Formats: sequence, structure tokens, C-alpha cells
Amino acid sequence: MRIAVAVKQILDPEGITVNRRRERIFINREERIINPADKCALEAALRLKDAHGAEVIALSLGRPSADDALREALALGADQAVLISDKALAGIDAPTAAVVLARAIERLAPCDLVLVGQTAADTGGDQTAGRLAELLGLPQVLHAVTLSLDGERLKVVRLWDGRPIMVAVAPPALIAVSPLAPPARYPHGARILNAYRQMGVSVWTAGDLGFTAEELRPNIESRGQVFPPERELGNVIEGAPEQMAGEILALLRQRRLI
Amino acid sequence: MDLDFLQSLMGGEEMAAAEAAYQDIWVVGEVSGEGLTPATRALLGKARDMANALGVYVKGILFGAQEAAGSEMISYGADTVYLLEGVGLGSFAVEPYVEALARQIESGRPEIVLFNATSFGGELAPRLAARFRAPLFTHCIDLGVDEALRALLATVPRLGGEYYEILVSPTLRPQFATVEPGVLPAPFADPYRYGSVEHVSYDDLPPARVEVLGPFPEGLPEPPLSRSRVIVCVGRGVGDEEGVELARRLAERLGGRLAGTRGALDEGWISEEQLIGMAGQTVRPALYIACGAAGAIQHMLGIARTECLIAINTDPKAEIFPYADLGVVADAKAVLEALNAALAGGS
Ligand SMILES: Cc1cc2nc3c(=O)[nH]c(=O)nc-3n(C[C@H](O)[C@H](O)[C@H](O)COP(=O)(O)OP(=O)(O)OC[C@H]3O[C@@H](n4cnc5c(N)ncnc54)[C@H](O)[C@@H]3O)c2cc1C
Ligand SMILES: Nc1ncnc2c1ncn2[C@@H]1O[C@H](COP(=O)(O)O)[C@@H](O)[C@H]1O
Repeated sequence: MRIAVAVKQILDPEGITVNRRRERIFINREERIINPADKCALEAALRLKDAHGAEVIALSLGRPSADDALREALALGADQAVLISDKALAGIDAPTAAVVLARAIERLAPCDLVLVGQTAADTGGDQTAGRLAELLGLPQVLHAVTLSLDGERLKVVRLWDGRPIMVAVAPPALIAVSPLAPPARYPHGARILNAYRQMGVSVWTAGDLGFTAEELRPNIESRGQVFPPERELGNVIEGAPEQMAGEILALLRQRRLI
Repeated sequence: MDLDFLQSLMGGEEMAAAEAAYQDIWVVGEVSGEGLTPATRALLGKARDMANALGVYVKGILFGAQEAAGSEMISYGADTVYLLEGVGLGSFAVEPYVEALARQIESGRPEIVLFNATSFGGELAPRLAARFRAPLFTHCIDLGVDEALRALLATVPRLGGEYYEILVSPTLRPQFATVEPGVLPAPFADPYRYGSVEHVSYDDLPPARVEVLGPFPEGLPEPPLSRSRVIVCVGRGVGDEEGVELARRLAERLGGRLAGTRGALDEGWISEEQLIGMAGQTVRPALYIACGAAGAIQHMLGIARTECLIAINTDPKAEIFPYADLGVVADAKAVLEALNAALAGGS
């Protein structure tokens, strides 16, 4: 089995603070990590590899620093890594990014499985999975939490509006792994060294994949940011339990928590 | 100067303009037991406002011969409703739904297509957007239009909702968006609104390639607390096992998890893995309800990034109150009981 895993490198959200009152975003610590859901996708691929043998190829579209994300994937157990990186790809929008990733995956063909994260924690795009499935003509299973091979088919437990259901699909297929799926293992020390010393990351440019700069120009623009009101703390009320329950529910509704 | 060339150019532009005549706002609806889901109704209300601003129609889409829900769509603001029917459109399956909707979009050329950001919308919208190489704005909490550009203004969450960004695609059409359920205001229904419900039939849709084997009832490995959106925390002040049980039930009702303080751990009410704080886990839920927890600094360290903290404590001077979005001076067990009762009442 040949499995392609799409791995996006993002700025660690823990290193970013949002000051709502000043309406500013502060990057305190510019650390780049593998998007958490993609780490779960890598783990799912590696479990299939452990159980049945597979060739796992990690694929990333990003700046040159995404090399680190791919080395980490190699250290975790991926067999190959491909970085799509090019100045022409800076600021790429979601529709075009999916087209570029799809063409790269076609170039890696034949892949039995394409695994991606359900959603990228920075942009919360939540769409690359479905886009890739459509562009590659594959069936899709989204929000997957566990996958196992059952004969010719994959059995997947997925979440549907938060509730688990079991589905089956025959490869080739695209599966989007939920960030709630089992998290990734820790890389073996020796593999980390290997990933830097002995294993290689192939770099493909936009031109290698047959794209012109014109085709990659972004078509989606930002019109600025909106900040939710700052929290007001320390509001204390007192009363009968039923009345207090009513106040709590009112706050939950107002904050759209129920 | 080559006039022919100029003319062909202008003619070409006109043709392109005619071809580019994307208009109207479509709403892909969802139906539950009693008719349209509340989120679908709200989406129609929003679509109506935007359509008025743009001077276009609102069209509703439903799968299956759902006349009653079709009429309901009209009462909430649709001018026309298409009921898409055909083999494969009976129970939900991605491929036939995408294919039917794609054909409908090809012939109807909407400028905006809206879905709910549910699993249903999340399966369809990205595939359709890819087919039209179109923009898709996901989990929007608000929508508007730029009337000059005739473009959708989509407010989307960043960093899991720490802040929002307004996005626009000046040129790409159609524009797709999914809207977070529960964020738009409920619209009014006008049962006398006029509109038409049309049946559209597709007979050669592709089969589904994913088979649903059924619900998966047995206990999945529970996701770690650190990823829970909702946490109900018990402290020593919750009193006894019964209080813990009430908290557990509330957590379940809210789709969340039970956790606790060191006090609760010492009482044997929670396990090590459920301990929150310096010696336990660090969490960042959207909602944390602390029941009978003092607010010791070692505990508070674990919940510093909670979005909404509600604390219930009998002591008006409890340390936890200054940290809370809402502090409730009351008996934790009694409030938990009242909360469970209110939520069970289907509110
Ligand atoms: C090194 C170190 C590490 C620690 N790490 C942690 C940690 O990781 N996590 C942690 O939680 N603690 C930790 N602690 C312990 C911490 O200091 C507190 O002792 C502990 O959090 C107290 O738990 P509690 O709030 O449940 O209990 P208590 O301090 O006993 O507080 C009970 C609260 O309930 C209220 N109450 C009483 N009756 C009612 C009622 N009927 N209804 C509503 N409220 C009522 C009281 O007013 C009081 O505020 C640590 C301590 C040390 C020294
Ligand atoms: N630039 C990228 N490089 C590699 N994979 C990506 C990239 N962008 C998105 N993906 C994959 O698509 C998933 C969903 O992304 P998104 O749709 O942006 O939330 C991610 O979790 C990744 O697996």
C-alpha cells in the first residue's frame, strides 16, 4: 500500500496571543509545528504501515522552513518526503493550494490512500480534504478517528456532527483525520538524526508541477480583522438555584455555547 | 488599428459578460424531524437580506420530495425551491448529492451558495467548490455583501475563534460559504409569502462509494481533556458522589467531559487523568463550569486560557470569582440539578 500524507507546517498557536482590547495579534514565539490534525493523520498512516506494511510519503506545500516538518515526519516513520516550495506559491489561496497539492499527489501516483488533516489549526480552512477528493476523483471519509484494514476495504470510525459512526471504503480513497484521533508517537532518537543526515526531502517547484505564476495568483483578499469583545470578569450574582441556572443558560446562549 | 480585432475583443468581452452572469443566492437546506433545521431557517433569513441588497432572488435546495419543507423555505425568504430527486438521493451519500447539486449549479449559475457548517454541509461544500475552482468560506459567523463588487463578505474564525477575519473574493464565482449553526438570528416566517416549489429529477447519478455500516455505540477511546470544548469541573464543594453524578450528567448534556480539582481527587471522585491544574492537565475549553472549586492558584494555572469560565460556590469571597465570567453564589448541587432539569426540558 502506498499512502500520501499531506502535512502543513503552521505557526504554533500557543506562541500567539490575541489582545482583543487593543485589537492586535502578538506572535511571542515564532515556532513552527506540524498542524495537529496532520500529526494524527501521520500516526494513522504509520499504524497501517506497522500492521500491514506500507510506503508512507509525506507531502507539504509551504515555505522552505517546512523542511523541518517533513524531517519530523521522516523521523516518525515516513519513508519519503516531498516539499512543494516556490516564491510563486507565497500567499496562495485555498482553491489553488488544493489544485497544486492534487497535482503533486497525481505525480506520486499510484497512491492507495491520501490522508490529510481535517482542518488546519491556523486558518481553520476545513476544506482541503473535500477539494482534494474531488480533484483526484476519490471517495472521501471526513472526521476519521480510527482506521483499520479489513480485507480489501478500510473500516473507518468517523464523527458525524460529533457522533461516531462506522463506514467502509475501498481504496483508493481520501481520508481526513480528525484532530481528535490518536496523537502521534514520539520519534526514536536515532531516527531524528537519520532524518537529517541520511534521508532526503525532494523539493518541487511550481514549474516542476507545470504551473505558471499567473495561475497561482491569489483571488481571495482580507478586508481586515474583527475582534470579539474582551471578557468581563468578576461578575457575581446570587439567588435561588433555578434562577441561577436560568442565568447560566442565558450566558451560554449569548456566548453561543449551546 | 485593426478594428476587427477590437470588435472581436469587445464582442468577446460581451460574451464573457453574458457567460459570467452569475446571480441569485442559493441556500442548501437541511431537514430534521419537525421541518427545516433552525440553522437552515436562519440561513434563509440572512440570504433574504443579502438578496435584497443585491436585487436578486433567493433559491432553496432540498434533496428528496420534501414539499412541506419546501413551502417552509418560502415562508422564511426563498422565492423558488428546487427539490432535487433521483436514484441515490434518498439517504445521504456524498457522490450523488454532489453530482446533482453541481448540475443544478451549472444550469442555474448562482453567485452565492450557502450551506450550514454541519457534517452535511462540510461533506458537500468543499467538493463543489473544487469542481468550480471557487472560493469557499467555512464556519462563517457572519455574512454580508460588497454591493459595488457584488461580492460576498465572509467573517471566518481564526485560531479557533480567538479573532475573526473578513474575506472576499472579488472575481471568482460562484462563491460558496458554510455558516456556523446557531450564530445567525432566527428570522420571522411569513406563511403568506409567495414562491414556487419545483421538482427536478436526475436519473444517472454516480453511486456512493462509501458504505455506512451504522452507528458506533461502544466506547471510543475518549479524546484527551485538553481537546474538550466543554469541561464541567467538580471541587470538594460539590459535596458527594451524587453531586459528581449531576456534574457528569451536565457534561454529557453539553457534549463535554467531567474533570476535577485536587480536592475532588482526594475525595476519590475523579481519576488522576481528570485532574486539572499544575499537577494535572492544562486545558483550553470554550466553556469551563467549576462547581464547588475554591480557585486555588495551582488549579487556575490549568485553565488560564478558558474562553468562558462559570464558577458556582457558596462562599461569596471564594478565590475563583474574580477569574470567572459569571460567578454564582449558590449550592453547587442545587444549581447542577436545576441546570440538568432545564436542559432535559428540551430548551
Ligand atoms: C505543589 C502543589 C500542586 C498542586 N496542584 C494542583 C492541581 O494540579 N490541581 C488542583 O486542583 N489542585 C492542586 N493543588 C491543590 C490546591 O492548592 C487546592 O488545595 C485544591 O485545588 C483545592 O481543591 P478544591 O477547590 O476542590 O477544594 P477546597 O479548597 O476544599 O475548596 C472547596 C470549595 O467549595 C466551596 N463549597 C463548599 N460547599 C459548597 C457548596 N455546597 N456548593 C458550592 N461550593 C461549595 C468552598 O467555599 C470552597 O471554596 C496543588 C497543591 C500544591 C501544593
Ligand atoms: N500547504 C499545505 N501543505 C500540506 N498539506 C496541506 C496544506 N494545506 C492544507 N493541507 C492539508 O489539508 C488539511 C486541511 O487543511 P485546511 O483545509 O486548510 O483546513 C491539512 O490538515 C493538511 O493535511
